[in-house]
Amino acid sequence: MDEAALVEQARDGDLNAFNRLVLEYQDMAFNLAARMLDDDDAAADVTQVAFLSAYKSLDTFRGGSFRAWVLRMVSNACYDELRRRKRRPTVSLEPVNDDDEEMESPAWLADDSPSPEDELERTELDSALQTCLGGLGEEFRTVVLMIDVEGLDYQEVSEATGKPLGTIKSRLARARLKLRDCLRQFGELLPSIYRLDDEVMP
Amino acid sequence: MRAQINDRDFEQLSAYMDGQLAPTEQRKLEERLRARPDLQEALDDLRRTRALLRSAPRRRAPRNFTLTPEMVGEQAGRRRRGGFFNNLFPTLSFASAVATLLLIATLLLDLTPGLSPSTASVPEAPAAGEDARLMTKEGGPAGAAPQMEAAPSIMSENPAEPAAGEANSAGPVIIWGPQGGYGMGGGNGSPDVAWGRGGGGGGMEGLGGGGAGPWGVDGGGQIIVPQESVDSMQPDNYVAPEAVQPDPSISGTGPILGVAPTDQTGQIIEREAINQGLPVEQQPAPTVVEEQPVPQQDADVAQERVLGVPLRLAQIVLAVLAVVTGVAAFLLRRR
Repeated sequence: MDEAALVEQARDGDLNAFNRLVLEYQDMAFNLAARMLDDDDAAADVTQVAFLSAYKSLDTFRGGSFRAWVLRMVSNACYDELRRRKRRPTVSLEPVNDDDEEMESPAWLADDSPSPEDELERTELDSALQTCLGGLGEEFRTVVLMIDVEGLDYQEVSEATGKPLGTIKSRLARARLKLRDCLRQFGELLPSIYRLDDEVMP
Repeated sequence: MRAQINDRDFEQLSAYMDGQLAPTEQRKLEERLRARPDLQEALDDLRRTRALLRSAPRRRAPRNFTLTPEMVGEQAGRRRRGGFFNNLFPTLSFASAVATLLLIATLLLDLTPGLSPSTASVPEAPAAGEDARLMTKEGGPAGAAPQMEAAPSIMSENPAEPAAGEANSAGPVIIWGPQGGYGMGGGNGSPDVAWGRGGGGGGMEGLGGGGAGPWGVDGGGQIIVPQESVDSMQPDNYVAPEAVQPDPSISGTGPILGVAPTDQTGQIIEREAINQGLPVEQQPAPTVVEEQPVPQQDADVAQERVLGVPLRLAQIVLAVLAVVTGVAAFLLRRR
């Protein structure tokens, strides 16, 4: 896929060319949104809004990493959603029992787990990770997700966030440090291979 | 016991882990890592944290997020049209900037003295070394010029001019005529230099401020200074000119008081002939030393009429163009 050619065609109004780019980057975009918001439904809405915004503002793309530019749209849409949540806190839709307490759905009841043990391990890691990511500030979370989860380099993250390289380095280091301290608290709950102790790293 | 490591160290370790340190910094950090086990342990912690993040389950898109024409709606068509109009944006921006710069240039041209056609240039005072037609070769106003008594000299200071000490220096004498001309007056070689101007066209300016103050302008365009003003400006060693008796051989219009013969107007006659006291009819043929320029003020007025109107029109057109293109560019950008 010639990305530059597709971008140019999309700028000329070729919707099919733009949709090919959507297919290429939608998993990455959704994953970032889901990790930012910790809500798959909200992440889907945000991802759709982000791609629609990207199509409308294609003229503002001045070259460089198109992947970084898409993630910029996604992160901006996530910030909008997070601000909206702060203004209007949502009421949980989880069912309540007779005592008006929310009944959380047990994770092991999910249908798509390959095996209960693997799913538990994966779920616990994911849960621990998501909990610790939720404890980071939005801008720190964005940087560590883009670099360590999505695999962008420092320059791409600088383009996506509009921040200088020095700021990216600083925020990444502080985010990793805070995640380290947070994940250490889970300790035994994490699969042994992921435990942050003196054991051999994977 | 876990050693305390500052934020700067963690930042360096984090960048080192990603290969983002400069070679010099990397070398220094590696030396420190060999010397400090706590730093090495912190680096290992960061590596595990990064590994954990990289191994986190990726959440796949639950559906395709491709856009449909209905979702885009009018925006698709607008995108095609918008492309054309958006291409106009840089052109309009550039045009607006150029028009503004040209407008500023014309305004600066209008305001710069000497360059603008609307600015009348100040006529230069004749060199101080030159003697006035009212002066004589002998360094005093009491020369052979018979007109001294009738037309007192015009006194003024002109510090920019060289001292008129060389009262003996010969200089051209300009005959007044319909075209007007310049004249000079002075006093006995004093450094004060006087000059005035007049002209048939009615140029009445002079150092008297166009006739303001105690000085007046006679019908022939000559600036008349009251004698009291002249006396107050005289140096201590000033010798009053002797009264000059009219030369009966000179008849009709003379070179100074009245209108010069038409065949001699605008010409410069060598002083020698005048100093010899020869009547006009007996003077040698005048030698044209230099052409007399049309009074500068009249030239400036004419020039202003020729260039000022187009300049104003250009300024108006440029201003309108700058505003129109700027507004159009702004509206297109908002789209």
